[in-house]
Amino acid sequence: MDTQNSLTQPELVEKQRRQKDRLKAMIGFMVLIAGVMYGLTFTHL
Amino acid sequence: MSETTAQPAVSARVRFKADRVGTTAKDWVQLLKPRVISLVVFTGAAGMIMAPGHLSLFEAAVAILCICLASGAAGAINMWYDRDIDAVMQRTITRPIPGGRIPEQEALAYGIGLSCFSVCLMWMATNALAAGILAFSIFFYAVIYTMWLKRSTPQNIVIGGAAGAFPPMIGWAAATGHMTVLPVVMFGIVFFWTPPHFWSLSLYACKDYGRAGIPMLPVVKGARHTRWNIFVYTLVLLAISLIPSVMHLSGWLYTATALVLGLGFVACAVRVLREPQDENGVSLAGDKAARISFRFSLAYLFLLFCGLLADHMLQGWIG
Repeated sequence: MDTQNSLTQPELVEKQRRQKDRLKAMIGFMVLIAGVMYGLTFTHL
Repeated sequence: MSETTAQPAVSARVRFKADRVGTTAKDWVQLLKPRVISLVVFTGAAGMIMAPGHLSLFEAAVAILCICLASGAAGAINMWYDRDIDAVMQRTITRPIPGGRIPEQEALAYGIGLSCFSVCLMWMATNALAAGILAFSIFFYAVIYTMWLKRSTPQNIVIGGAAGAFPPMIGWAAATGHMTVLPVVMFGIVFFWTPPHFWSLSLYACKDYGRAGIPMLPVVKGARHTRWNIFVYTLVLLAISLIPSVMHLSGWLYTATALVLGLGFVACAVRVLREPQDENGVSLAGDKAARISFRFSLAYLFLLFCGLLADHMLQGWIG
């Protein structure tokens, strides 16, 4: 919390941008894996 | 108001510290050594295409994804273990861990997690043999090469090269569920290609390796010894690359490709050998020949496997 408070405005903007990027990448990977698992279930049944 | 509108320009210029603003998605991708992955995926796909088995396009894509993830996972574990030497080498100092952008424990967890996931997924998507070779290749690179050979012997690249040679066997096993001569020969080609490829690089990155205390061949035995080793290994590679032709596993197109490329690689090695050098074998020409040899080696492997695939397709059309 202290770290959050001590962040400068540019740092805060950058932190939020990076959080969004990581979230997007993680969601993309999860969707890929969900697609793979669905496909495997479909083709192996 | 004017301060607020100026923020994006300011943030683009400022170099932020990861412990304050967090890591970027790019850092996590960089931890997977994407340039290594591209070569591994290509040779793995070549093994899969050459195999007589039948995988659906979807299963083949999943198998390639697994090879991708496994290679990246091994790379992440390698970067975690080598974080101390990466921090003193010019070539690796900007990597995510020495650069302070990713905490070391998180990098290790990421590598182990991806390793387990990729092996399980390969097993589910294809078969136990492919998953087993995949698991062994991760173990070989992360433990045998990184943790043991790399810091203990100048032959590190020779034995450790096996780690990068497994993908054609994995691709073949994924498609067929068994092993035969051709994927083993493909393994042999990548195995014997690795030493001259890395030794060419190490000739001009010698100081970096020496500073980090890694016993690469030029550091321990000297540049002249390394130049001779590159030459001998390119001759062995030329012989190994012709095995598919001798055993009638491929046709004239592959034979011609292997001969032309192999002789080209030998010519590069001769140039490395004859480059102007001092009494210790250190280049007096800025290691130009070694740089050319390194770049040629990359093109060599890519084009040789392209030749193998083209020959395979040609034989398929002919009947």
